[in-house]
Amino acid sequence: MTRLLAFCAARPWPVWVVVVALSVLAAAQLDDLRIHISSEELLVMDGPEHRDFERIVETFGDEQSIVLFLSDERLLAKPKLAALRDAIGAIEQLPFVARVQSLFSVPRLRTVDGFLSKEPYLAELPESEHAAAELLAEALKNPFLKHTLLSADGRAMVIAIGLKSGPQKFDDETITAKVDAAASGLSGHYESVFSIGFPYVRSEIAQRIRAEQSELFPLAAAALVLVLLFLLRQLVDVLLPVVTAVISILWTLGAMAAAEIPLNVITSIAPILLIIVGSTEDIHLLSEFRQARHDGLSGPDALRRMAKKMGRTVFLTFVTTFVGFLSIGLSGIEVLWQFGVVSAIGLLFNFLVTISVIPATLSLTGAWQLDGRTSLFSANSCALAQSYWAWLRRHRQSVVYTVVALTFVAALGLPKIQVRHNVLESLGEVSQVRGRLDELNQRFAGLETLSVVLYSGIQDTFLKVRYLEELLKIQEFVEGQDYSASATSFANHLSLLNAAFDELDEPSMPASDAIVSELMLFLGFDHVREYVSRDFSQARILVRHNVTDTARLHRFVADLRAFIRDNLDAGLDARVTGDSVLTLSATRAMMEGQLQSIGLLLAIIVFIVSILFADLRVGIIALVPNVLPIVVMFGVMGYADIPLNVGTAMAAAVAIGIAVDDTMHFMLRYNQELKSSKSQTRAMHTAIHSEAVPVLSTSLALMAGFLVFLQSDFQPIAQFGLLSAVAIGTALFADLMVTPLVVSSLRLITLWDLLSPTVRERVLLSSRLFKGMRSWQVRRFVASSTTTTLAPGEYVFRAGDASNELYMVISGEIEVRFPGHTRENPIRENFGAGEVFGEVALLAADSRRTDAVAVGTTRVLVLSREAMENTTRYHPGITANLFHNLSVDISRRMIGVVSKLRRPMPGRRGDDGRDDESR
Amino acid sequence: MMGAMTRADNRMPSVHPGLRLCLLGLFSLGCAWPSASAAEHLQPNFAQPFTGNRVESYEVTLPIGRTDNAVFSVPGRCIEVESLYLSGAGQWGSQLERHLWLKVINDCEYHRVLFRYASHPRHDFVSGYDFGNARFEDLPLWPECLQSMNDAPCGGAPPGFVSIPDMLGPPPAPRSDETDLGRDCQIRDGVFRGHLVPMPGGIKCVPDKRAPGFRLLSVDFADINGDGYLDAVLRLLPLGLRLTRTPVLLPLTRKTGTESFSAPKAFVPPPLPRSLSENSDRREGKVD
Repeated sequence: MTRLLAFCAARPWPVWVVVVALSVLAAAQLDDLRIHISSEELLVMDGPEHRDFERIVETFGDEQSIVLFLSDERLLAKPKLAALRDAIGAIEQLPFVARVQSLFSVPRLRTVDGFLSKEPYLAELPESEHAAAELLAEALKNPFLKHTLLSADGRAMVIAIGLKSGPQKFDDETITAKVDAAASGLSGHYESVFSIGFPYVRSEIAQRIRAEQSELFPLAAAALVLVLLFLLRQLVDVLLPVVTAVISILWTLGAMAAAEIPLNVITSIAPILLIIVGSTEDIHLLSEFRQARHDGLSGPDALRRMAKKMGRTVFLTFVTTFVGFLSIGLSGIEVLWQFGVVSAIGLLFNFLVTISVIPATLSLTGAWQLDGRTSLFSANSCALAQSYWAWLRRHRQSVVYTVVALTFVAALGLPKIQVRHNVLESLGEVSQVRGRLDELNQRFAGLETLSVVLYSGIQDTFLKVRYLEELLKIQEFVEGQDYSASATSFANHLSLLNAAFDELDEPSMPASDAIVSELMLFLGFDHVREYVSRDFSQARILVRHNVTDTARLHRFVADLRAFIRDNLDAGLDARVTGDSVLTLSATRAMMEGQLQSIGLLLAIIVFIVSILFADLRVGIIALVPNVLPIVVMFGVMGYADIPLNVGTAMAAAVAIGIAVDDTMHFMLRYNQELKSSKSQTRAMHTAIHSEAVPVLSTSLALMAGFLVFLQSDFQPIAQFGLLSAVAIGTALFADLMVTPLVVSSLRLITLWDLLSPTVRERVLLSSRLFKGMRSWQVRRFVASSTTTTLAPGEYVFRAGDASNELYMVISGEIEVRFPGHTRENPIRENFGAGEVFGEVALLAADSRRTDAVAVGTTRVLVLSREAMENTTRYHPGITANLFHNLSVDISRRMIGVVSKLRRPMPGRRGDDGRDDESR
Repeated sequence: MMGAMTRADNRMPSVHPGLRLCLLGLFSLGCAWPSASAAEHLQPNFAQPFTGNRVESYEVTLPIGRTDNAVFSVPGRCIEVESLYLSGAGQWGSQLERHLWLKVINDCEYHRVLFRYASHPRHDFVSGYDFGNARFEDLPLWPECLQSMNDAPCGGAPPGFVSIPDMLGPPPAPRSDETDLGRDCQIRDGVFRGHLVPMPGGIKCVPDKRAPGFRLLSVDFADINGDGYLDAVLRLLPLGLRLTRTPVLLPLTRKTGTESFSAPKAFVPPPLPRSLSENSDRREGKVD
């Protein structure tokens, strides 16, 4: 990655040529980009429930329809009906209309002089109010009319306009416009007239998507620019993230058009999201570059430092964000899957554009100081970072209490979270379409449907009264539960026909199987194909309802299933399916997907961080600042009555995927600083100083960008924006307050550190200090150290210095001696490759008594007291070995020193009168 | 439900199986009541399967083998249809298709009954009567049938005839408001719902809108037994929860203008298709 950044920095013009060419190619595809809204996309398309549903549709058919709603005190007054008849005639002529169901077409089954009449209810217009009232009363006895085409109070009716199935030449907006035009003449006759149905819902959503693309996109861009301008104050640094985001959006939309992926309610926010999220890595790169420039490096050198310090980090943070977005697709809901894929591809494009365009552009414009006055990396800000860290350490207990209290309070809100998953929810309460649907749902059985399908596997089962009564039993249960006002089945058709033949006032079930078969000779299969299979082995109860609340719908379906389980004839099987059940299944999938995506994301964070720092514990510690935003976000959802829906289901994964970037930036920076600084405290100061600005900038820019979504008319999208902003805000708090405290106790070592050339020195692995230790233990210990190269005669330490390190010679030689040594005072010791020195004073916690001087050019490994303490805390197995080896080494040296001391000195006599030499 | 079927089964053997088939088929006939047309103007109508439309002929697809179907025109190809039926083709297909076979056979047989004799009747004492408001005292009620609304066959009605009591429910316990037969006890506007109660002094009736009954669907006039007297063929649709919706046929005649109606003498209903009688385990002529 570092090389790639450097490569792009070295070839700015070719990079720009390629980027522009690809952008032109992408722009050429944009004409093919479609907006497609479908309620099916909010469902799980490949689950068992959907397969059940498809089988039902195959058996019983399915029809998209629009309803024309009419209400009036005198609903069936002759002039009104005459106008309505004309309107229906016009509607029937529309090319996309398959059939129109109304009182003008639904047969009024009755016998006239003993013969069955199938004339519609309004074959003749009622001449008087009395006749109209009689007709209404008669029609309300028909279960296929009451609550379905006619309101229970007889003051409203609907005309059901069935649309032709198969590929439509007409889009929703054309269909709705033509239907509205055909019905326009009715408004003067009826108190209330409107058309409604899913084409209207889709049409409104499509219009809003177009409007929001043109409104939210500039707002998000403006929010980003303002925040960056305020914090970075470099025009190039402000514009570059916007430029890279726009290019990646262009590429993404081009790819969508080429792959025929349409824009829908959810995927339409991907471009806006890209402009917000896509800026983060840019800011980190630019920030690093500016800091290098501030440190006095030339443009090329600053670019090299940017590439070296940020290449790996940017790649890793891209991976976590990419996984975060991709994990959204785990829910199985089509629209979320599409969003996950589209946004992940968009992020990939953004990453590619960022790592190519940013270095290329900086190599051209790096010297520009458009305001020339950025003070972000001044000495003052460095002092500020030190003060902040000191303050944070002083108040770390308060921080811990605050985090625990915040988590606890937020967790209390979790049980209050509700799930609402309905396309109508996305419209918001001020929507005209939503208002009309609400009125329709209030006065009629509702547009929501579910089906109970009974199976026997035996031909002609549902020509037997015994099994038809099973249908009625379930229908009675449904209608008695206050969930539904209309449950109809094949049994109702037979009851109506039987009553007609029997000249009864009310529908009545045939009393024998023979009668059922006789009646069917009049009914014909096509008349009942919505309710029974051709071989009469399956029958369907169609339940219309207006339950949009997911919890209530769940209870409804659960009660229904329990009733069926306890009461259905043993010879029958039953399945509950239909739109509503698919909605519930999607709700379940959404919750499971939410848990899966969060779980997967956290697991990936732990995995990446653990691999990166070669320690599982570091991975788990990295979770702390990232779990807090999740808990707080869900707590806010519970307290603020924000439901889990198709929009908010994305918030946690998106926000954490983004927020973890800052944690990783901080940890990697701290690791880098540790390598060049012997002090963890100093490393922390520098890390805070270096990362505070980009972390703060990106987080505030993200929050501002997400809050732009509050302007959306789609409630789930607005809620998504709010929750994402809350999560990013909490993550910012955690990254500034919790992350430094958590990582300050660690001496972070990356995988690259362990694999570095220093650690691979054979001399280290064969040193007595590491005797008996495994290779990885040696590497880990060595990686927590620093190396230094000394010139001949250069001191490692002097007598009187504080002893905070021990040393190991990697190459060359070190002489340790008492100060002012002479030939008369020859006590000194030389240390070659693999030998350790400086440990005695370190362990004794005493100041140095000797001088250590490089004999020739010498490289030494420096192990600080802090590093040893950290190792003792987190890897006691390593330090046990280490201290054992140190003891052995010190003992060996002690023996050596004693031996030297006891060596006979010329002229000195012992107690026995012999001199030392002779002894 | 099963009890009702048993009762119906036990009461029906007195009716000739062929006539039963005719009655089964009648529900598909569509002559408007009253239709006092002369025999030479007979133009029987049929109800087209599944649509119920009134037609003079229709086409129908019937299963004639395990996998084979054939299209027939009724009544044009009735002879062919009946021949196939006699050879056992009526067993094929689903329950509904077997019912369809019965309907077609009955349509064909009804057609044959009306056109059995080509001769013009010399006497007509029936076509002037208002059968839609017929009084029960003018109709043959066969009191024996009232007494035996149980397992025993009704011995009063001639073979091949269904009696009016057959279509009514079992008589309730006698009540004080029962109407003497001969006063208000009659079909009104083609409909009667109620009970006939055998009393020591004769038969009384109890009109009851909720009780089983019948509707007079049509009256056709033809000399069905070739005796030179015009006969009336009444098609009655049973009404009531437990009764089949198949219209039944009641042929009536009289030799003077004042006497009550009776069953036409020497009327032999068309023979029952062999396959139908053979398929009936109980030999009562009804498919089991």
